[in-house]
Amino acid sequence: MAKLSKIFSDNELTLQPVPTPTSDVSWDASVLITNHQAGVWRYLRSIGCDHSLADDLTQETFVAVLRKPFVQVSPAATSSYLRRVAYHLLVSFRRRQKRVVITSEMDQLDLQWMRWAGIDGDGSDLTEALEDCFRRLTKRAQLSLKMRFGENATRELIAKELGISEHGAKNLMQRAKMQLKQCLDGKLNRD
Amino acid sequence: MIDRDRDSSKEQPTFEPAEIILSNLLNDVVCDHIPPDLTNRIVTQFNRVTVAESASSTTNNPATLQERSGSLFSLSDYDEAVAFAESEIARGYGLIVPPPVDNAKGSYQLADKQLSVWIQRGKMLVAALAACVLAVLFIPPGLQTKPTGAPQNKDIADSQMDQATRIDQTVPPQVSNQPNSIAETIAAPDSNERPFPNERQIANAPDNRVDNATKPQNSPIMVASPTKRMLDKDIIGIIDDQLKHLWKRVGVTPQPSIKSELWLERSALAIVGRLPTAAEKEAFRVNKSETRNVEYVDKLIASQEFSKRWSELVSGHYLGKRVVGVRSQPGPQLSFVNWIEDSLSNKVFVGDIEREMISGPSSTPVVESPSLRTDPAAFWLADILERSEVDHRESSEHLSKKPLEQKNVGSVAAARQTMRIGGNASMVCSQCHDGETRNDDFNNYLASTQTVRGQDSFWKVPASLSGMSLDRRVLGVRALKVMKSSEYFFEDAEGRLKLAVAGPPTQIIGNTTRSTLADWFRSSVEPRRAMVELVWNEVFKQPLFPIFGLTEEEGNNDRADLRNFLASQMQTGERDLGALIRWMVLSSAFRVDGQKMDSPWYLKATAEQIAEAQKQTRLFASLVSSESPTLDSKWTSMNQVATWVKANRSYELNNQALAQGAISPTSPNSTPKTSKPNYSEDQVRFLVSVSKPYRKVSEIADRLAASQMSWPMLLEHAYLVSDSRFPTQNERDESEKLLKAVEQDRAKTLVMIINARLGSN
Repeated sequence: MAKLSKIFSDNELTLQPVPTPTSDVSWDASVLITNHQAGVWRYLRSIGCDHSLADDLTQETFVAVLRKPFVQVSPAATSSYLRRVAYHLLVSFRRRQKRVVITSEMDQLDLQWMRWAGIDGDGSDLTEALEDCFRRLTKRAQLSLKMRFGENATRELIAKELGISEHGAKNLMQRAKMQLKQCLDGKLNRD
Repeated sequence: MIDRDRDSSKEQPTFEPAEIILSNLLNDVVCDHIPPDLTNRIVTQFNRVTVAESASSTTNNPATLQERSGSLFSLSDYDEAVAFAESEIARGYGLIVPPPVDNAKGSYQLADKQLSVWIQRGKMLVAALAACVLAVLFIPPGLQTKPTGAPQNKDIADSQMDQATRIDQTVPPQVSNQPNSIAETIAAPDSNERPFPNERQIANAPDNRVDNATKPQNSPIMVASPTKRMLDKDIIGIIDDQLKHLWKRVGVTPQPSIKSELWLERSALAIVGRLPTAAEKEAFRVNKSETRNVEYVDKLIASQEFSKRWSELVSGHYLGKRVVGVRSQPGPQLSFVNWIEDSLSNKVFVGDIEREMISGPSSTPVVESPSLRTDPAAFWLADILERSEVDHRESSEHLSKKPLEQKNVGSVAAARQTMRIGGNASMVCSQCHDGETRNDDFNNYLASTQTVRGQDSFWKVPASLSGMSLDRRVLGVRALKVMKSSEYFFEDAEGRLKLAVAGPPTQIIGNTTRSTLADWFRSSVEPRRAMVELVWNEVFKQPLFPIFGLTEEEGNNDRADLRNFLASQMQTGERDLGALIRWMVLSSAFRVDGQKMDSPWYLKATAEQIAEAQKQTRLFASLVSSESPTLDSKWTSMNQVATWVKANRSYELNNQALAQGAISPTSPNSTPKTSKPNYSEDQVRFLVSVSKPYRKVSEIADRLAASQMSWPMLLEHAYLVSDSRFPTQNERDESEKLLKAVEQDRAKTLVMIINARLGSN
């Protein structure tokens, strides 16, 4: 926090004063960035941004928000607000790339994120839960998913490594993902 | 990146958000990726943007801002994203997590019900066995039949189980009269436990609609999945539940349900535009089936009358004009209407009709060839171009406008009409012509083309306009930098001015072709919204989501949700127009009683009654009576009336002539015509039922004008009296001009409007 304040003062530029009319929480821009950047980044990653795009859009989200006076109503509202700004910037970015954006699908991703991560969550609970669920998988299932998502291995390579057919590898990974989904639903039941 | 298995597994076309998020998170988990600390980057970039912004404002050159700051986005991008997010949060989005609706939940509920059925059957079986044992023990041997044993017991058990099953099957209709659980209805659509409610079930249903008037509840639409094709009965249930949700939220008690006979008349008027015949009434009366309502509606929709009536309405929607008396008009317009009629009778998906119409004849892109006038698809564009250019020539002679050659009049008219069909109902000139926020794409486009007729580039215009509309919308929301012509914008719930939702996507600028645009019409849900609005307007006699004058209390979001839901169901299921009408006519909302808000009613009603009736009709808690008069005015617009008033300052003396439409709009000083009024069937019925119906128009107008109601509300009453509907946006705009023309005299303006609409005095 102190570091952030120093950066602002070093640049001799201050953010606009932020009114907090309805909040009893002392709030400033540095708190906003510190508390919410991880949540925005994880959200962007989870809806399909690669690392560099997630970095860029997280940065641009806070720039967009900090340009205007900001009112902290509640942590949940702030979290949702930042997510929605990030979401619209992503839509804008993809449209500029002439990529078809199916907003209804993106809305579904957004809803799913809220169900798992919570309205005001930064996704850390979700990540921890996923790590825990992942550890409960069989070794073979873990290996297959690590190869698939960590090393970007083809299904053929995974099948060869595990000594099974390609179809078997596909089934194994699908079952593993289904177990992970059920495990997450059980751990993060927020409805 | 989104889902690594999707690219290679073609057998998985369904979209699974949970799986996609899981896959993306797995990448971070297995690779131990953690969120980076972006604080330095954010602060640095913020400072850059701030410096660039201040530099741009001093040099007045915003184009360089993005270059100076090295940002991915422009200031308008930032503003747009923030404005959208603010608007969503203000509406409550993201503050409540809607419960998931998936097959699993439905299967749980189904499993529970099956379990209870089996428990009930088990009890019956035990009872039957006990009865058999008692019979064997206590009945005298002489009375016992030969021990056929199991079969006999089985018969008893089966008969009791059958009875139980029958009882079980008779229970659900009572349960189904309380469609409070939409999740149940949607998740298990094949369970056949929710038949279409008949009128008796509706009448007997407990009315718990005002129990939780002030209790906030989730909209049923939020629970439904609009991207899933749903069964008709479930869609009808959603319409009912959504309106009940709205009534509960605003504390309005709907009128009781109407009787069958009136429903028959109302349905027939909505579907085929006439009253039911005696034979149809008798056939309905003797039909004791529970689904007789459905059968009746289906029969009407399958008739030729349906396709004839709706082909004219849909043609008018596409052409942007009223298509009346088309049967007597030879030539291309008749061909066009016949083509629409054939498409409707063959149950063609509306998106296919629109794609064919927009894409035009495939043989040649030239739209003005005389030979193509016989092609129905070519007629659409040719008619719009021709009408717009004729109008411009006429007005330029009077108003010294620029010659036609210097303006792309036809192209703009066609683009505007394209956008209206595409869901942008309030596309108006000021969205582009305010002189401040001109879109570079559009300027470049205009500069590069002297005329767009006959060129494929014509079809870039809607996307260009759409882009400008988006830009202006951001300005409108963020800074209220709207021009003086604010009447062209609509107000949101908080009183801010907004532009209409854009039509075709802006990203197709640059490579848009006519076929691309046509494909967008086929594959997008926005044009379906325009069709939903058209049909709802015809069936319920008022718009589902008017672009002006809708307050938050009147269910701004609820109504928009309902329209989007119906549009997405049309699109997802590729339903034809008949299906859409069927949903509305079979809904319970179509059964609420109506009010005949005609002249006698207005004269008797108190101010409170008028206000309450208006609120009820606006919220569909009562319908404007279908028995009210509807007729065609000679005046096609209030603009014409205003023009006539300016030319004839003695309008007070000529009110009768005005009412009869006797003075030509384009020739203000011509003499009144003596032609007989052309009464419609509805008008004749009304004239017979009420003697001298319009005699006290002035009195009605005086009473309305003396009230404290605002002008938009007064105008609504005027249109309820004259047309039994609410005014359109254009009519509202034009009435303002008329009001100015008569020097803000509200009573006089109301009299003129009512007389001009009614065509008699």
